[in-house]
Amino acid sequence: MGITIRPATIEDIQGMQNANLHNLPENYQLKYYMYHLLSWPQASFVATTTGSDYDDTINDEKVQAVKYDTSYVNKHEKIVGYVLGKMDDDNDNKDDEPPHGHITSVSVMRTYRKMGLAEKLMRQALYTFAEVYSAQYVSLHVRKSNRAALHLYRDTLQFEVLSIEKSYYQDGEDAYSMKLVLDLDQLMPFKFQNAEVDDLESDLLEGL
Amino acid sequence: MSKKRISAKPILSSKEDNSFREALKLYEEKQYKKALKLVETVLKKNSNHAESFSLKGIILFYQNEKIDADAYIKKGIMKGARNSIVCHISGIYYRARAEYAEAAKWYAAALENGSVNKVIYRDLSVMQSQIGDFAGLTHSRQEYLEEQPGYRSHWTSTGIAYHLNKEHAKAENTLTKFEELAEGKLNESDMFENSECLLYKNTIIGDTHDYARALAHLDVIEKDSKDKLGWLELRGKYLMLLSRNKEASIVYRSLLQRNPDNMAYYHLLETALGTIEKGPAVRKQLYAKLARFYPKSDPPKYIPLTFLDGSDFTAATNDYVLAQLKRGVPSTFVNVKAIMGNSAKQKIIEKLATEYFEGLDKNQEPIAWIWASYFLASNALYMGRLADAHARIDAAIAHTPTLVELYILKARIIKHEGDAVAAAAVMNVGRELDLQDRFINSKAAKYYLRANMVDQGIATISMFTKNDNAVNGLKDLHQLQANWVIVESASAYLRLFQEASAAYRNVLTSEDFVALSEEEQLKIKTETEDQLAIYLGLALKRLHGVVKIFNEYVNDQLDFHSYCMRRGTARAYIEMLKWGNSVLKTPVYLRTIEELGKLYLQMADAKKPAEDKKKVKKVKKLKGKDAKRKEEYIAQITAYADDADPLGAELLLADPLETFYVLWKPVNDQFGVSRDSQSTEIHRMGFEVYVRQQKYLLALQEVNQLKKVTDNTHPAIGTMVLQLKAVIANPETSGAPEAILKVVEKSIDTYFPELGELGDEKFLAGYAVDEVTQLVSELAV
Ligand SMILES: CC(C)(COP(=O)(O)OP(=O)(O)OC[C@H]1O[C@@H](n2cnc3c(N)ncnc32)[C@H](O)[C@@H]1OP(=O)(O)O)[C@@H](O)C(=O)NCCC(=O)NCCS
Repeated sequence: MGITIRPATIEDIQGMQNANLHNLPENYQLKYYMYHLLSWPQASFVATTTGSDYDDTINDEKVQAVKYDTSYVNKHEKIVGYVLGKMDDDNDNKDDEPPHGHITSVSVMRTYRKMGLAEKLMRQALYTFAEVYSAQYVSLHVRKSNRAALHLYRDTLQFEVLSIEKSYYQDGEDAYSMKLVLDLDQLMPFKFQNAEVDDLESDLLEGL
Repeated sequence: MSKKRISAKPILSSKEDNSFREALKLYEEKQYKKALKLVETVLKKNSNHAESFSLKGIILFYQNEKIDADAYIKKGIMKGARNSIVCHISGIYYRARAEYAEAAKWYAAALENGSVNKVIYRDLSVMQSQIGDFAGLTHSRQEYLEEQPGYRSHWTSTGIAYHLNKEHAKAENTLTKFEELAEGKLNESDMFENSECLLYKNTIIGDTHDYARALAHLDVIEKDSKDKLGWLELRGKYLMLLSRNKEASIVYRSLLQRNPDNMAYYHLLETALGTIEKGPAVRKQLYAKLARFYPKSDPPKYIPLTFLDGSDFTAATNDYVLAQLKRGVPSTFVNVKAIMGNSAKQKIIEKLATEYFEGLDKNQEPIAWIWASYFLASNALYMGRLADAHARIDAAIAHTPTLVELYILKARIIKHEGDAVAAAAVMNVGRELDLQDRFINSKAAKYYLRANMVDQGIATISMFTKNDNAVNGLKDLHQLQANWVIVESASAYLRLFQEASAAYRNVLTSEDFVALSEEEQLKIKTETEDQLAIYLGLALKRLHGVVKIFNEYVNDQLDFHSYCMRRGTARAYIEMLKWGNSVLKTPVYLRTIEELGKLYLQMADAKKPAEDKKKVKKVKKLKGKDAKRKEEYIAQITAYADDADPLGAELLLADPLETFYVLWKPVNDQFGVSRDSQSTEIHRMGFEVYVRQQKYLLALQEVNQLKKVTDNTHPAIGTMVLQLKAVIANPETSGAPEAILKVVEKSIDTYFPELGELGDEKFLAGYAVDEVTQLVSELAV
């Protein structure tokens, strides 16, 4: 598909903000994205279209198209999905809480949905939470009526529902508060492929 | 932002000085009213007390008396430019006004004039970071570190300053020194910061191109590096640079295990293995193997489509495209769109998909049928066969009228057919099928805006915004920096303005109009011109709205110049500075500046009779119904709380050239002398501005930059050079001294020596585009 899943950088935040504004009613100023990436640089990921390596012929028409589409962060890449993650380390009152992560926002542009991008973005984030930030668990909120997201968290990623928070959202809708306990070893992304494992030793080109 | 403490040194202990210090204390406690009273009594007794002028200025500033504030700050400076308190207050003042270069100047002056308040170094270094004065930054960071060496953040920030100033050895030494001091004294909660700082130091070593040492250092810090992915990426990079490809290939394989969906790792792995030179046969087998490791990931299946040909490509397409169609993956077309540029491949894909589609029974296999229809309609649209696309999507909708995706595509097809209003209506039908999804809501809103139905578009998107007591979400959208809405609104107002102006021109010359009485004519004129002013004013207002947001983006960096030092996130911080130095090149910002440029240049060229100005300025008193309607309209288009100029009428009156120059310059600065193909319009506009400002040398430099960026192929270059030549040939009207004109003439000869040899006509012909290209490019606009 020419779509890549990679760690988000500061260059991506405008595209993330744009995707968020297109997909969700909970929006943030750019500074909040900066705060995420400059506090926990490894905890956010993006799904982008690729172009630079394969298509260097950028013609005028393309440049024009890029200018008319705010999802482009540069002339080669547009952001079609993202997960914005943070550590929950500002709750001073709960000193005994073990380190844990929080998903601030995740969304995928509609034309790119149902191909597994959200799952892949989330799996990357979960692994880093455990590995880089030693998070013991990850928490998030989801609208009660959001079937797609609920399926993603509960069924695909195996989050548990902790509680229902009444009128959590601005418009009065309830939220499920969800949580997933992290086990670094199990979370290594290739393990979800259920397939032959690269031994990292044998010669890949042997016999070719 | 907290107001910084100002230390007043008690040299003269006159009564006034005591009162002044008291006032200063009150100011620091934010007791502005009392402080003001006191400072005014000081000034009454001593009308030369410079510090008091400055203090009064800053107090007024925080009391929102911005104009008086400025006058007092300037008076303070006039009377005591070498007084450290005056300088310090001026620094605080300019910082609060977001004039960071000016603030830096006054903070530095405070220190030079004897302030012993070392905290000023910290404030100064924030300003220097923001304006990119890295030489100055090394000094202030170092001074502050020596003052307070007990914090890691001060060592980190000093190291960063040296790094930014390209003093790599000093940067590294500074960071190392802290590591030595802290040896064995770090606890668990310091470990993330420690890891970030160590990896940062490694990148500094890497920046010196001593990759062997950088690699060795990576090994040393391995156990303390928590960002394993980043660590591995660095290791792969160094190994490649040291030509240790075999080892690098293992690194990329372990990176693939961590993220088998990152396209870049596949390419890096191939580079390490040298398979790209080995040809498609080897690559095909390599990817077959990788697809066995990562069957759920897309790249090992997708990448072969980019290098396979002929029957291999057909077979791979069968596996990739048809498999997705069978599963009913909505995004199948966008997944292969990048490959469609290759016409042979496009033909194969179309043929296979068509055959597959024709073999389907729409009643037996409805899901596959619908998505195959959708795929073929997308393909037809891509190929420009609009009737075919339209027929296919209609059939699909007749089959399944409840699928949102079908309406998105149908609306796009109709948009390409040229009927923006009908396209918006179709998109809106799709929206009504899924009222919970903001994406389809955004699409419907965008299509309304494209159809110039601004009010409808904003009303639609306001279903998802926070509207509080407002009639719609426009203020929320501006506050949350929704650039796409704002820029699309601007374009819509512009189109409305252009359409209405054209219609107005026709009216003025029409027989019906001429036959009217003078009074009736005047009435029509006034009404139409008012409407035109509203469209144009709102277009400008929205475009300036985007400018305001990008200003916020740039200034958002401010807090992070100290915050990141404390967190240790130095690598991300360096990335932020790079981002800040190129953020104005973001496509949507270029679009904004280009739109503004076109408008302001037109405005500059339009002759503005003096009475016209008066008319816009004079607020007409509307009465009764008219007044109410206007009030309601203003409520609908107001973008900011307490905006004194919601319709942008003031923007119409500002000096167009000067206003545009101020916006254009920073963008041009960010492009610098780089050869970025996106900069062509910026250089063209720079030329137009400079010519009108009679700054011909600068104008010529823009032509020369355009020449460089486009390899001397831009069709406008010839005309620009000749235009410049004609202007300077006429010293009286050129408005520039003859000496300058001589230099311009010489420079034209240097940059375009062929002009002399060829003569004007042939020179110009060298840049002419053939008629077909011309036609096509005009139609494309
Ligand atoms: C929720 C969202 C992020 C899912 O993105 P996505 O890339 O389409 O999701 P994936 O393709 O990775 O799907 C993950 C799982 O969810 C399921 N799923 C996706 N969309 C679904 C839907 N509309 N209804 C039911 N299940 C759905 C998938 O089938 C898949 O399940 P599986 O593991 O059993 O096969 C996306 O729909 C979205 O951006 N929605 C709007 C924003 C939003 O609601 N964000 C979440 C806020 S908490």
